[in-house]
Amino acid sequence: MTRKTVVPIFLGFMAVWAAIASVPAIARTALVPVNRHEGALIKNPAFTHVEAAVVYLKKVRTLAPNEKENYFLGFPTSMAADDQGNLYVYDNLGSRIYRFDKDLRFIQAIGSSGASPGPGQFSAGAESNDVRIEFGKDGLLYASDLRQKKILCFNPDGKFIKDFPVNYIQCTTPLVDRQGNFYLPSIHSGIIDVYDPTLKLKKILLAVEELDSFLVFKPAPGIYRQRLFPYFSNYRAALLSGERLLVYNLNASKLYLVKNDEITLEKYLWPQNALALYRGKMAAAIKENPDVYRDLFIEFCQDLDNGRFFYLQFGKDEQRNLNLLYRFDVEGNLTRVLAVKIGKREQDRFKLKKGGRFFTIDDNKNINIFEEEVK
Amino acid sequence: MGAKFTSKAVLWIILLHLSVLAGLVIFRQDQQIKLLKNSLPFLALGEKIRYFDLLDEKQVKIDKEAIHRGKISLVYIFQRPCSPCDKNIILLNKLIGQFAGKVEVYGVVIAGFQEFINQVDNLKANFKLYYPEDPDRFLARFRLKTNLSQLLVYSDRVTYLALGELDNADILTLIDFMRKEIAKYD
Repeated sequence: MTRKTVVPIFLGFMAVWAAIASVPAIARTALVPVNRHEGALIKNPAFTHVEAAVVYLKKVRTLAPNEKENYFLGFPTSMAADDQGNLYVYDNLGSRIYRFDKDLRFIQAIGSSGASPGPGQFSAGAESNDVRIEFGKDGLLYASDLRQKKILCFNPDGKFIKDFPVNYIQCTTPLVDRQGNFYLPSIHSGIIDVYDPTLKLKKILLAVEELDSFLVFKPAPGIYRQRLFPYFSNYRAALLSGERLLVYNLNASKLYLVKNDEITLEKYLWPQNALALYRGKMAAAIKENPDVYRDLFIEFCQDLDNGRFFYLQFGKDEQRNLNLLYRFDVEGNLTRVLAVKIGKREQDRFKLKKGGRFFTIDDNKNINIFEEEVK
Repeated sequence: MGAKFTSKAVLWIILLHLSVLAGLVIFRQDQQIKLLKNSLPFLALGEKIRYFDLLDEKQVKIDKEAIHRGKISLVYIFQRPCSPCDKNIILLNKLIGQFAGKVEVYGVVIAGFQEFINQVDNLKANFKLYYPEDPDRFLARFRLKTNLSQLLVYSDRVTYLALGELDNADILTLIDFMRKEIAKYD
C-alpha cells in the first residue's frame, strides 16, 4: 500500500468518526434540562416520517334525535361500543345510558336516576359525576358512578345485573377481564390494582415512578402534587387480547404493556412534530401562567375495530388550524397521523373508534361522527 | 222623614249597593292580582309581553311585533358571565335543532352582550342574540328582580316558563310542550 492510498483512507475514516461523534453531541445538548420557563424539553424525540403525511377526517354526522325518537342527550361524557357495533352513551343530564344501534338509531335508555339511587340507578342531577362506561371482556357493560361509590353492571340489552361498592378514588373507567377480575386505578401507590370478582385485592401493578411522571419537565410544586395525586387521573388503561394490559401515562406520555404481571414494554410516545407544537403551546401558556402544566396528548381513544392500535389526540395545531390525532400500535410505534380541519371555536374530543367511524364529543356537547376523507 | 219607599225602590237601592260592592270587590281583586304579579320576579303564565324593544349585533331593532305573528317563539333571557346560563345555552342549541324552522328563538342578553359576541372561546349560541334597547325598562316590564335566567315559550302569551339552570325534567317537559304547541299550528 502506497502512502497516497493510505492518507485518503485515513482521512475518510476520520470523517466518518467525526460524523458519528457529532450525533450524540447534538443529542447531549438537547438532553440537558433547561429552564422550564423557556418551555424547554429534557429529551429529544426520535425522528419519524409518518408525521409528514396527514390523513384528513371529515364530519359525517352529528348525533341528534329524529322526529320519531324520544331522547335528549344533554351532556354526554362517556361512550362504549359492543361487538355488534351498538353505541352506548352516558349522559350526565339524564343520568342514564342511551343505547343506539350501529346505524345510530335510538334503541333504549339504560338505568334510571334517583336522588337516593336504588339498584341499577345512577345519581340524579350529578353534574360533576364523571361516570365512565366500558365493556368488560366478559361482554357486560360496566359503569362507574363516582357519587354512589359503585360500579354498576348491565348486560348489553340494558338489564341491570348487579353493582359493586368501591372506594370512590377507584372510580374511573372500569376494566374487567374474562374472568371477571377488576383492573382499577391504584390506591396503593401503584398504578393499577387488580381485584377478583368479589373485589378482594389480588395484586398491585406498576409502581408510580415519580421521576418518570414528568419527563417533559417538572411543573411547579403545587401543580406537581396535583398531577401526581390521585394517580388514576393521569393514566388511561385498556385490556388487550392475549391477557395484556396497556397503560398510558399522560404526564410523561409513556406507554406500558403488562403481561402476567411483567412489564413487557416501556416506551415514550413523543412524535417529533407533536413535541415541537407542544413546546410552542407550553411556552405560550407559561407566559400567561407560570404554574400551568399541560399533557402532550389530551385524549386516549381506543380503536375497537383493531385491537392492535390506539389513538392519542394531540389537539389543536394552531398554525394549521388542525385537530391532530396520532395512531400508535400497541408496541408504541407511530403508524399514522389523522387530522380534522377546525375553526376557531370548535374542538372535538375523540372518544372511540368503531365500524371505521370516530366518535367525538365537541365543546357544545354534541356527539359527532367522523370518517376518513376519500380522495 | 215622610218619604215612602216602595218595594221597587228598595230593590233598586239593594241592587245599587250590590253593584257598587261587586265593583269594589272586582277592583280590589284586580289590585291584588296586579300586586301579586308585580311581586313575582318573572312574567306569569298567560300574560302578554307588551315590551320587547331589542337591538341585535348590528343595532337593528325589533319590537313586540316580532313575537306577535301567530308563531311560537322561544325567548331566553340571560346574562354573562353565568355558568348555569352557559349550560342552558348548550342545551338550547340542541333543543332548537329538534324544532328547526318551527320555532323562532330570541336570546336576550341582559348584561355582557358584546363580550359574548366577541368571545373567541368555545361557547356559541346557535340562535340570534339581542340586548334590550332600554335595559331598565326591559327589566321592569319583565319584572326581572333576580339574576336567574329565564326561558319562555311564547305563542301570543306566555305558555311556558322555566327559571335558572335547566335539568333533564325541564328539557323533557319542554320538548313535550313544544311538540304540542307546534301541533296546534300545523
